[in-house]
Amino acid sequence: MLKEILSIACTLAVGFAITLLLIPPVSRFMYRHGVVGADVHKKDRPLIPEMCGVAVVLGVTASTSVVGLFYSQYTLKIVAFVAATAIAGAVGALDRLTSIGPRLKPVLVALGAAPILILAAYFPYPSFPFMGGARLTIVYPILIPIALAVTANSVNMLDVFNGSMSGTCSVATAAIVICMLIRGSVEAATLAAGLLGGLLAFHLYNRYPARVFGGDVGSLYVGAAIGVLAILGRVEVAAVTAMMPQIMNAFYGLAAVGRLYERKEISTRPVRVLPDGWLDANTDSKAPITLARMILAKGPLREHDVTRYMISLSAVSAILAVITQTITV
Amino acid sequence: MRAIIGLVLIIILVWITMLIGLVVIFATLPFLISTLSAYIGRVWESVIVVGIASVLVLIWLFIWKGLAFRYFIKSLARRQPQRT
Repeated sequence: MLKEILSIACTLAVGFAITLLLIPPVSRFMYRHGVVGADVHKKDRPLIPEMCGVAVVLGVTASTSVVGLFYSQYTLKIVAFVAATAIAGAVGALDRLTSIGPRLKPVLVALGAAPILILAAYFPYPSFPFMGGARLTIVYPILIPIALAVTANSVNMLDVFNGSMSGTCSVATAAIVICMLIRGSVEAATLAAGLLGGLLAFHLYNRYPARVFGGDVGSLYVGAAIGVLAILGRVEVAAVTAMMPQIMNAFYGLAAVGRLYERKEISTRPVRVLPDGWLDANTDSKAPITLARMILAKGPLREHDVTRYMISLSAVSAILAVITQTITV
Repeated sequence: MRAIIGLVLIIILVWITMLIGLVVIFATLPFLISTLSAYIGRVWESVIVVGIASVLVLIWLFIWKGLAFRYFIKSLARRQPQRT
């Protein structure tokens, strides 16, 4: 028991500390090299360093070495996690530098499933609530790339306000850690604790008013990491439940627009900034329906209130995820 | 919290129907598998089972999409006059 607690605490601390230490130099580097983006939900649209999700990638990857120290028999799965998530992060960086487009991006992120499949780091007998285990030996490997593409792009599509990605994903990851502990997947819970540490550190800089942006590197990496962790920790259904706000937001956006899209492609934005800096839902019927627009449907709010509501929705989903894991046989 | 009560209800209802759907799919699967495997083999059996499950999931998603969009349009229609 002591080993489990110690391993989770150490991994969380390492993920948190390294990410926290790396964010200032990474953000200075990005700012110096012109890798900046306008904070479009502020009246004065300040320029904020982008691609600072690199710090999360490095911090979480460093934390996996702690998992290896505690659980050497888990090395293969750690390698699969690092390789799969690194591919997603690299796709994010590539998209920032060359703009690979909304259709190719999920396909490239799905390639992150290759290390999991090659190293056979999955168990094709997932457990379901009330029903117990199911044999999915043929279907499960096919679902892995789809799962990675869905989680990565869902997280990416909710990275719209200061702290919205880091806040909602921190809550979802915390729920996933608890679900893994209920499931008895201690090694995977330790791995997930590293991601939680990195996310919490990043949230300190990314929350309102944001001093750094994670960019696609950060959001695709975090989304893919959650997807990989759900597979390694065998908490697939609970993870889907914990990710419900992200998945709903992505699905509503896709359903409204009718295809995969990039935010910059949308001429009619779902949210508009009022002259006093408050945010309001765009009433134009051409604007995509997103979670933010649904939250703002009842009236204007400040940006940090919208983020707070998103995190509250994640907290509700997190509670449901823990209940789901409890009733999973 | 007024702004998200409807969304919280949507999340809870989506979750409940997801659980019911999973139970329905996995309760009927053993019967389907035992019937199909004998005639068409495991690969085609998997394809058919996944096909049926995917169609059910899609129907579920589109029902929820419809309800959520209706909720959104109603919320927008009922709102107070906009700030300018």
